Amino acid sequence: MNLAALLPAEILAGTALAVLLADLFLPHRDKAYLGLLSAAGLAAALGGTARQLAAGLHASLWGGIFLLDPFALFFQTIVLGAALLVLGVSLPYLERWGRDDGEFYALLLMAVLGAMMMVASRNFLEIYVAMELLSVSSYALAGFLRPDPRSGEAALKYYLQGVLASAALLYGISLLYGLSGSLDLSVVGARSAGSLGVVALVLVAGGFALKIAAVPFHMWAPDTYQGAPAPVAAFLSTASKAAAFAVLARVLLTAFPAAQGPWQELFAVVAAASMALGNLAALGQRNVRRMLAYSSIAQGGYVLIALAVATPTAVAASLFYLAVYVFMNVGAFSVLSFLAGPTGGEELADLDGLAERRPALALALAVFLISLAGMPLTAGLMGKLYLFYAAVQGGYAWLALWGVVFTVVSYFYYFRVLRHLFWGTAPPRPAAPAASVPAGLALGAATLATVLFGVFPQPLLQLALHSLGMLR
Amino acid sequence: MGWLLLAAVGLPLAGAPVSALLGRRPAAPRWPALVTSLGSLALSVAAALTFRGGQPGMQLVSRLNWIPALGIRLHLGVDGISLPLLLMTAFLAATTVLASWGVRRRSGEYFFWLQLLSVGMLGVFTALDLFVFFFFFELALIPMYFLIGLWGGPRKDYAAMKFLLYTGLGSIVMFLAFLVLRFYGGTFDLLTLEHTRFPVPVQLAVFAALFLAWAVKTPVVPLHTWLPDAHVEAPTPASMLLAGVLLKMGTYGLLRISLGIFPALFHAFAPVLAVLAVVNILYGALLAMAQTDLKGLVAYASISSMGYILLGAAAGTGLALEGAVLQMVAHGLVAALLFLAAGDIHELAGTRAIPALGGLLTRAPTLAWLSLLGALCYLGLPGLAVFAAEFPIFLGSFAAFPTYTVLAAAGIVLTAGYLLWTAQRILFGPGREAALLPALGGMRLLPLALLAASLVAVGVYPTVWYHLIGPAVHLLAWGGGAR
Amino acid sequence: MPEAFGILTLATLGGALGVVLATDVVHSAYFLVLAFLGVAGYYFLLGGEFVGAVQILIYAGAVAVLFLFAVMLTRRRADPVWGRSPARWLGVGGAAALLAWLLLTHLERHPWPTKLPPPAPHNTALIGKALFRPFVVPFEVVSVLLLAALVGALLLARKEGGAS
Repeated sequence: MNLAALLPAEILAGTALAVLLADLFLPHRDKAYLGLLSAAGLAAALGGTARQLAAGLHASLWGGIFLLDPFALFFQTIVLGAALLVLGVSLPYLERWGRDDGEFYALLLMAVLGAMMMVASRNFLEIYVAMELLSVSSYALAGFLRPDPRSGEAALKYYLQGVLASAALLYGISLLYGLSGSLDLSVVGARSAGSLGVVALVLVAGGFALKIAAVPFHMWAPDTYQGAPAPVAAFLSTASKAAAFAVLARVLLTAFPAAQGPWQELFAVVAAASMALGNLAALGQRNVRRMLAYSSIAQGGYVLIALAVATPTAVAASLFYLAVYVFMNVGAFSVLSFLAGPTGGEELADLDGLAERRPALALALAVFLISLAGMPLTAGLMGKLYLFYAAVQGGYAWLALWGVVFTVVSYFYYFRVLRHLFWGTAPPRPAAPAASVPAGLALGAATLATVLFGVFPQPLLQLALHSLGMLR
Repeated sequence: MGWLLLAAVGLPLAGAPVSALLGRRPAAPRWPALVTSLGSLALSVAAALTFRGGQPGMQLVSRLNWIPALGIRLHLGVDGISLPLLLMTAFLAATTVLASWGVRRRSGEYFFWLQLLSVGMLGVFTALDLFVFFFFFELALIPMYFLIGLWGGPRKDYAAMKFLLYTGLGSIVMFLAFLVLRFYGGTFDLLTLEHTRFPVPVQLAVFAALFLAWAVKTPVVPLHTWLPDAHVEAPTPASMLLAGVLLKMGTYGLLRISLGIFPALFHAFAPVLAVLAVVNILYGALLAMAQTDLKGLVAYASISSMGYILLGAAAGTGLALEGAVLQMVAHGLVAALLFLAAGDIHELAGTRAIPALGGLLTRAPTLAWLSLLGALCYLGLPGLAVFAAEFPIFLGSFAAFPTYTVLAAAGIVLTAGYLLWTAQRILFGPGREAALLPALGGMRLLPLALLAASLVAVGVYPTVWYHLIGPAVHLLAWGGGAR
Repeated sequence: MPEAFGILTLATLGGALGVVLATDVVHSAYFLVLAFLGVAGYYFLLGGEFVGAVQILIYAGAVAVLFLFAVMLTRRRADPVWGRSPARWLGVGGAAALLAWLLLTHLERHPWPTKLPPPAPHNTALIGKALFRPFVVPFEVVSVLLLAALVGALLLARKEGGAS
């Protein structure tokens, strides 16, 4: 039972090892198969997880170290889906940079494995170990294009701040262990009352907040998202963020419901600050990838509203938002990945007239940006509707007001990109490389999902509500 | 028969991607747009024919579950207030397609956005669910941003962004207000909320937020600065829809939602609204006099005209409200005509600067006469649409706000002054342009003629409209002993 | 016991400070060994002989030696000296003092149990059982983590333009 329930994770680990091994023997020209192998492994894991989710699996494994409940499975599905999209875009990206090493795929799979284990843990030890797996793989992925100094800088920045966050997390965990004598989430909270428990909780939350890139732990994000390979930035800004959010929500809501007062206020402030800083800083960016980095800080702020409000509706709203956010944000970074590198930059001016050079790419990017802005016919609006409604319902109307005001601010920078896309006039430049089949599939799927969930959000909303078993 | 409205709103949504896909052949995308806009018009007319006039309440209602998790239904329906606006919108949408017949540059995208805009406009006037209302309200923003940005004049970047941010702020504040209503009222359903009692602080907050939204859209004077920029820079068909339909969304929301849900608060607020209305009327008229750009003149004149609608709404007598609703229709038609005429004149003479124009009557007589008809209608010549609407407004408002009504009437004098003066300079005076393009062909004059005909039709026989509008409006009337 | 604890704390904290403050990287590495040894001392004090021994073997032994080798083999030019402006000192010191104050006040206020349960005898066997029964998956995840670190380190350390 135990082993069978973890089959998707086992498939991933096996695929990662197989990719590493095969990398040693495959001749140079056949390395593309490594990507396909990874995709197959990811798809199998995704299929397995989705089946578990559909079946409503709710299993406590190894004496409660793992909890595979719908909440965990929902986030596992999100992470796997994001990774699959990222992988599809990575294939042509790596090819263009002349980097076909299998390590990329192996590290990506290991990062996904870490994220998967993280969201299903109910024990601080496992949470920490899984998060380190995610982090270490991510540091290496961020620096993957090391000949480019920006990539190295991206990795270094992320590493230094990540280590600091890990230290805070560990210290917080050690305090909680000292207070409660346990690492089990269901026990820790009950025995960690008092002000010291709150201090410990803040330290733990800080560790996760870095991964979410929430203010004040956001400093690494712009440099890392800008310097890392674009698909890696897509992964970090979605899958990694979603996994950290899931763990944070689980820790707070299952372990510390008693301490709700203080941390609700704390997250209200963090959410408000993230929305404000992310949106305002994005206004001034000329580099689109950097702008998206600030935008994803702001988007993280929207999602964190859920932790401030901390009602079932709010958490369901954050699940929905994160799910659709994966499509729109991976999509946006992916489109940029086609422009960056040898054929052109990522400055606003580089996007001039893209609608005439590459209509499909421009259309996809437009859909993603309009969705990030939260406009009708896209999933972003439905996500904001649900989140802001939950805020009003939970007595945090001021946070919703704050959110809508900064939503208007965000119109400016999202629509400025559209202006460049559709009516900028650019000097003729070499055409961007043609999209390959996997990348086309990934982008097409992301675009379709963004529009589809914008018109028919009900199934996903239902699933998000259904995945809240842990709160009942 | 609820499907009629659904089909009318949904048809352009189906046509939009078809137009976009036909974009490789510049002359092709306009055909789907024509088909869907005529289809929507036919469906709206069918809805009007099925509509049983002379009684209040919603008809042709359809309720489809859309997002059950939040209790959101695709709840559409029309009553005597929204049906005239629906007809006017569908008519203008079709006219606009005709007016865009010559668009060749990136025509696929153009007609895509134009049809998406139609969806938003038609949807706003039929929505009976607040989220659906917001959805369509906001949906109209994106196409207009693109229409101004891609096909607009020299300052299009600035104008498009300003339009987006101003009206975006308005609609997102409205969105928040709706969420609060949903929380306290338990539903997004407009008809249910009309019978819900809210705590007073909530009423005040929501009313204020909603008024901000309507005030930006209408626009009410300190918030109007987006309008001249957007109207002047937009391509002619977009200007027609902006002035003709988008502004009406604000006043429609004011009547339908603010007055519908918070009647008592609205009554208390009416005197303030009346002051704002008079300021709008006079300020718009005075600035219109100072314009040298033909489009700018019509834009400021529109601000002035929207003031009459506000005045009628503030007065709250049955007569004034009837006039206000018909004024929405009448101003929609006449503003579209004047913007189209301004666009045509620009194309013909190569300039819109009033001092540089002249002698139009001899060079393009049909265009000139039709423009003159529009101007005469605008200044309130009896027998034409605007008179049929403004006269009841004045009559009805005088009972409630005599002083303001007199002041507003001064606006009529100003309007007459600047419109006649402008018409005299453009139509008669000596022609100053060196070379004129050949006169416009029949196809170009068709939308203009249609609009002119509609003005006459509404003006000569407004009874049909009042028969529609009356019962619905009298439900809302309160001022001056009603009726 | 309190005396031993005090000495170990001095060693650990002093070592940690030394790592940060030393100007020479080699000295930093030596201080690191001191800090590691201090931590190992805590383990012994608490009755965790096995963990203490592992700490000495792996950290104070292998890891520190590896550090020293790495430093000595790669040092070619004078290492950049970190900026030591007063403002930086003030910032770092202030932040550290704030954190220490926050923790100390709360730590002190907490009603800690005055008596610890006696350490289990033969805890080495218990650790083994815990690792391979309930914690087998975290244990396996750690092995993947080490693999990821290895691959990542290789990737980043490989010569420039490492297409092959």
